[in-house]
Amino acid sequence: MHRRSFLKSAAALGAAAFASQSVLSRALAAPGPTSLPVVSSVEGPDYFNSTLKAVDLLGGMGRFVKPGSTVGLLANVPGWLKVPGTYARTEVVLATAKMAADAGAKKIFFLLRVAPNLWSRSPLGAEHQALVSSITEASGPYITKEIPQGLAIKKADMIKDLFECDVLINIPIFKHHGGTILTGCLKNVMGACSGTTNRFFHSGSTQSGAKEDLGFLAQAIADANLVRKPDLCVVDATEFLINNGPAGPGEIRKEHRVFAGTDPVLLDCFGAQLHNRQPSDIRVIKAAAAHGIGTMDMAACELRTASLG
Amino acid sequence: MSSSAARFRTLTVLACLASGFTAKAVPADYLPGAADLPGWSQEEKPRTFTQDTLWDLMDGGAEVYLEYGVEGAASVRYKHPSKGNVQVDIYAMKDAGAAFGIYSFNSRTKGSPVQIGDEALLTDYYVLVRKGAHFFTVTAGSDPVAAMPSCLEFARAIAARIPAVVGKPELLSRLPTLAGASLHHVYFRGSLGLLNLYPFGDADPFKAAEGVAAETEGTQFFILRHADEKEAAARYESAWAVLAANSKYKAGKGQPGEQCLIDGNGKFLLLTRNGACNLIAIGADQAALHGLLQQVLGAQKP
Repeated sequence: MHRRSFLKSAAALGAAAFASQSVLSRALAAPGPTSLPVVSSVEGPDYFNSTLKAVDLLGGMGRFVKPGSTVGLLANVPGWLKVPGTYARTEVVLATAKMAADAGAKKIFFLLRVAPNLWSRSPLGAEHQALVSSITEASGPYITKEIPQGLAIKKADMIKDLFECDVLINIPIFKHHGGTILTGCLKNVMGACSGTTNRFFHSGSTQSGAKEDLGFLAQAIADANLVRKPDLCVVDATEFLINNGPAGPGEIRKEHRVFAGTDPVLLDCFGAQLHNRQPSDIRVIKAAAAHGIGTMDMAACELRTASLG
Repeated sequence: MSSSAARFRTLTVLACLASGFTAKAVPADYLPGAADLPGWSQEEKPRTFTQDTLWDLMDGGAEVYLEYGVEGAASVRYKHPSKGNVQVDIYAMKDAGAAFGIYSFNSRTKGSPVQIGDEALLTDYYVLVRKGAHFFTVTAGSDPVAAMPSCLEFARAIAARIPAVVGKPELLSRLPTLAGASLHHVYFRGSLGLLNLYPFGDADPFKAAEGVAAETEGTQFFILRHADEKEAAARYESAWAVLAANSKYKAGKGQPGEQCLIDGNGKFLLLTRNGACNLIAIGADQAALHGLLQQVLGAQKP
């Protein structure tokens, strides 16, 4: 092999090794000897502390947020959701932001416009005024992201900040959705998409005569998840709609639980069970698993639980 | 629109109706004004929506409403100095059957029936009502305890304004009598309605144009109507193939003319055909399910 070719190959190998280094180091840093994907689940009436514990069970926020990093929060707290049980609770969002700040994040921002009364929904908002005041909202614009491996969509308009933050933390709520049965980690990516793109997910199928093409919607959501996998998902399963979602009003189930993990497919499998569905009944989950975004094998994961009671 | 302007519009519509001139009312016309509920005022101008803009009100939740046949909607929040606030959302459906359907879909929840409109359900923080070709919700704001009595007043005021239109889906009359608590009937017009009732899989294997379901705790009975007998037969065969191939079901032993599966919860799923309809019974007691199928097959024309 010529020297130049050798150096070129070595450089390529080195680059690949470097790219995988962060994944490898995270796996090595996980508490406890496990190569299985880890999900944490914490039950308790204090949702702020449950959130802290859920991430602690994964090894702490320091595994995901390094000092000086920028952190984007994809939290399901848009202004158009007004009924409790339809949006992620402020306690869960705030605890996540606090952990990111304590880990040394230099900037924390939301990836969508949040409800104006987000922080006043909980007295903790006032208690953490300094932190709350420092969290900003992404300013956009939306950029067209190519999705070559997409099966339903080949591109999507997504907020550019999604790709510019060092760390992406997904904060969905496991609630009922009339169109997809369940909305959780995977569907929450629509929060980073433009309204036009989201409507296309619902109506872009070329299947003639269809009032709605549920398969297209599910596949489009799975395709959109290819653009960037969250570094961490912190899921609100405290109090959520079990019917008439996504906007309600509807019956609210009080599970008092917070989940956390790095595999959005696996987490959504737990979400499906909360709604008395098998993961295989949720098309989005199957489509995302088929893309390799995560695993549906709940038996092959390490579940770490705690009750703060 | 200010409350006086809304009132003027409503009076104009009523005058036109009295004179024989037909001006089609829109959901916003049924919103109560200050005279109906003293002390209450609209926090903002009511938002109105068409089929195409319903997304702006409820995002992906619009799918189900579109499936049932929504034609328009109006949404506004009211406030009171001492009683908090309430959210009112009124949906105009294409006909009384559609209103029945979306009401039946949304009322699969804990609550108490109340005498408002054609049918109404009171829950711990909202009221659901259907009247004529309309469906509406009145939701208590931040203080449900203070606002719930007012929610009922709002519901009565709105129902009084909505014209009566008779019409219940005929298919409902074909449902068998189910024993048990919490009996509920649902009417649906597509896959979303069906899949929200029972997880046949990740997709609707039947694709019926319309259907009805009777539910009690533990038992469900479906009648799915197709375009004709030929389509029903084709859907029966294809749906059976899909269900039987789904690993969450185990094969069961059905009576002659019935297919039988056992789902992941240990419930029997019986499937049979009746003319242009496919019948499905789901529950823990196979003999009882067979009885329900026979009740429908024996009683009805296809």
